[in-house]
Amino acid sequence: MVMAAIELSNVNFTYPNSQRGDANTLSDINLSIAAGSYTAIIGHTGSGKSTLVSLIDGLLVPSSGQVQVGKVTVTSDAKQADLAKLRQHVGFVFQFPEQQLFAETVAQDVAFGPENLGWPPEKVKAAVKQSIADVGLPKEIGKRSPFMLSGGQMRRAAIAGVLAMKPSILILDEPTAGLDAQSTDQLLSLVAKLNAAGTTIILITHQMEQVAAYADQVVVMNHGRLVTSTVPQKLFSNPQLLADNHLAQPVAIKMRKRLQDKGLSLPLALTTDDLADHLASRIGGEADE
Amino acid sequence: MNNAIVFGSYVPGSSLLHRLDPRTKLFLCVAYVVLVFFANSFVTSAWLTVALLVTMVLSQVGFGLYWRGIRPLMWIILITVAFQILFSTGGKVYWHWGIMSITHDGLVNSLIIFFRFMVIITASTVLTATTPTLRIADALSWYMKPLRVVKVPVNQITLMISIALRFIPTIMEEAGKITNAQRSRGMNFAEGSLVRRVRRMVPILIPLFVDSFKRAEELATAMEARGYDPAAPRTHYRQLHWASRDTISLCLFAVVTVILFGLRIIL
Amino acid sequence: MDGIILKDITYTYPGAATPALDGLNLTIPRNQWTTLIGRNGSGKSTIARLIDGLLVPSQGSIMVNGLAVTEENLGKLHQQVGIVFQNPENQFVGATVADDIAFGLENLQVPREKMAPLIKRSLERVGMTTLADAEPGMLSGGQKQRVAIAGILALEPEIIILDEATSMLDPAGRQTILDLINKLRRDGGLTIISITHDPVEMEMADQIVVVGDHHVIENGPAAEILQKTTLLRKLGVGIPTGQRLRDLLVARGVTVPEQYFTEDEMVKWLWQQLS
Repeated sequence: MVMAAIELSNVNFTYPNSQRGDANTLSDINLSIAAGSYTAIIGHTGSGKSTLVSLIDGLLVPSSGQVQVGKVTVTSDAKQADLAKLRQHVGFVFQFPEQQLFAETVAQDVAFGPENLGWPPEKVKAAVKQSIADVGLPKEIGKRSPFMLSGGQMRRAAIAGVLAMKPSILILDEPTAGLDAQSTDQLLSLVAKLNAAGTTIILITHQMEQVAAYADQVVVMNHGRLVTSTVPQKLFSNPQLLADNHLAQPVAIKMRKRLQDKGLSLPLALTTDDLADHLASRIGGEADE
Repeated sequence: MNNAIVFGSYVPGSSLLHRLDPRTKLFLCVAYVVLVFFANSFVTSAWLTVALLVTMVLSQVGFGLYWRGIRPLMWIILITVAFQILFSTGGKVYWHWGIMSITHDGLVNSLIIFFRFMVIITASTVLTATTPTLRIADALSWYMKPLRVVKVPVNQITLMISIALRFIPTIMEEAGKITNAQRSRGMNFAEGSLVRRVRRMVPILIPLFVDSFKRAEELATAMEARGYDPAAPRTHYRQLHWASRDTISLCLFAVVTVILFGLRIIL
Repeated sequence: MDGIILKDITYTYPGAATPALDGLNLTIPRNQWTTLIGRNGSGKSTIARLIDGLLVPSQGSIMVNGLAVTEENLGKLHQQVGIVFQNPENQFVGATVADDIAFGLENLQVPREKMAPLIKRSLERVGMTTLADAEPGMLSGGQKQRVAIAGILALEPEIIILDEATSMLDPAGRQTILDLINKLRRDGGLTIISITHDPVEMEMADQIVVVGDHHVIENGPAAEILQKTTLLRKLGVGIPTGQRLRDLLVARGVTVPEQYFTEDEMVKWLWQQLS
């Protein structure tokens, strides 16, 4: 039994002043996320994904039920001090995180989080240096203004600002939105590396390829409800479930389906790489003769 | 993303008040505020309150919604009233401590101020709850028309106001997002002295400025690409229509005014 | 004098050390879908802005369907060329959908009585008639981009430019925009220019122009350019599914014909090999 890093039990959430019905509300969420796992949260726009992760970061407090993150338990009457303690362990990379940059230099901006944690200057300095290197930015950039960087560099600088706090849980809300294919791959392999080093990853994404390639747990949200929490293999072998929740199929699954419709049977492949492996072994076998 | 009802937000509907021409409503609201300063006694104040209550009923916007719109401002009102009570002098003294005292005149003055605050805020909420902001801007530009004679660029100002109004929710949402991002990086708003708290606004205000400038630049390019030329004449899609209900409303208001001054003379 | 002809164009942004475009020559055919691809900052958006007269080249000349891009022709150009920008939020001028579409008409001084039918017709073309009175806050990103397109269509343009118009949308929003553009292409009479990193969008185009190092690197039919996967990788753009699978198979020692594969063609070829 792996220790659960995050546990939501019977969580309901409504905005205090919400006027009409279901927008941004969550109903009866039960979810367990294991420490060190890589969890993808998917669902169409407005399904409640962002609200869900805001609860995990203590930016919102449940109207009822409880959210447990590490040793901190959050209920409707949570204190600010508890929430602050929770946020020390959770890093949150918002959508378009480059919009949060504010300091005169990249290094100062990256230091903002660690300084808020009250770390001693040497520790802050070391963390800044390391996280700038981790996101693949050259050292000299630390001295430059964040506003002079290119779009992709700004994104990485902002992510460095979150990583510098050494969170044990990292939430990323569509971190690759607006990036080109190459930067997307770089960012995703960085996240995979952090995960391999023990960080619990929660990734909100619209890209099913990312879910198929990286996640070991996938949570489907729809209209503020948790539809299912399962493994990608199970989700992607259930076309009906995907269709019901307005989700696309990964390319490899789509291709396999089309080949199967023509009468070819192939083992399940989540990524194009896996599909190519299966296909190559079949075609290659014939070519050898 | 935040659904909180803020002061001055529009409540969709089709009541008589919703259908009135915005010029009528804007004029009535301003004129009513002026009238409030002529109410000098309990009876005259009560008369204006009744007039306002009737309007609120006619607007078909629930009293609960009005209250939710006004509630956030209650603190400002109460603090002002408290100051008035504690620091004004004159008349019988009931209690005093240092420079603070509670006097008869102070109580009366604060009561008047409380009344004025409440009805003025409520009246403007009636206006904003029944009129989309852009319609108010339309009305404002109509009233500004005469200024064209003295070369005031009324059309540009109107467009500017309507764009500013259009972007308020966008910028508010952005501010919320940036605040959350900085909170999640360990920023704590609640602690420390006032100076330290103000300094903490920097990580929110700078990104907000940067973002707003970027938006402004992109919007300017988009407007130019769509053929906008500030110097060139433009036609106008949206027009205002004066109806008989507007004339009737003005007449009713005249009646309210006459009765108010009548009461002042009699009492 | 059909199509868009850029001749020997040089443009340097104010304050920049190097020119964004340096001696660029490009012809974009009329009534076709042309996609511009290239790294961020390669000058793709600059080309779009030059065509619409939003930027003035320091050297060279531009002709748009026989109309010279000059100061005097700006009004006409803005009517004939519509641009949908990247951020749906920052191009929505009006307080409601109808108001926003009216904005361009007001600038052209279209008489008021002619506006309502024009607005209605362009909303029909983008499938948003029921939302004429909606405020921008109530719309999704994809819907806002449809309004932007409707605002352009109301001016009856000849050219529509999509400057990364789908990059900030979710998959559903992106799909509605691509479907809409496809429909407009079928309706005919429009030259479509799109700037994108999205392989699906690239595959839909007739022509692809690769921009890099301040000028045009490659220019040709989409199928021809998309076959050059090494080049696409170097540019950081995504590779369409069929072609990506072909590359993966080749890397695994499978012999696959040297040609461009769409997804359909790839499925067909695989089926032939395996059945």
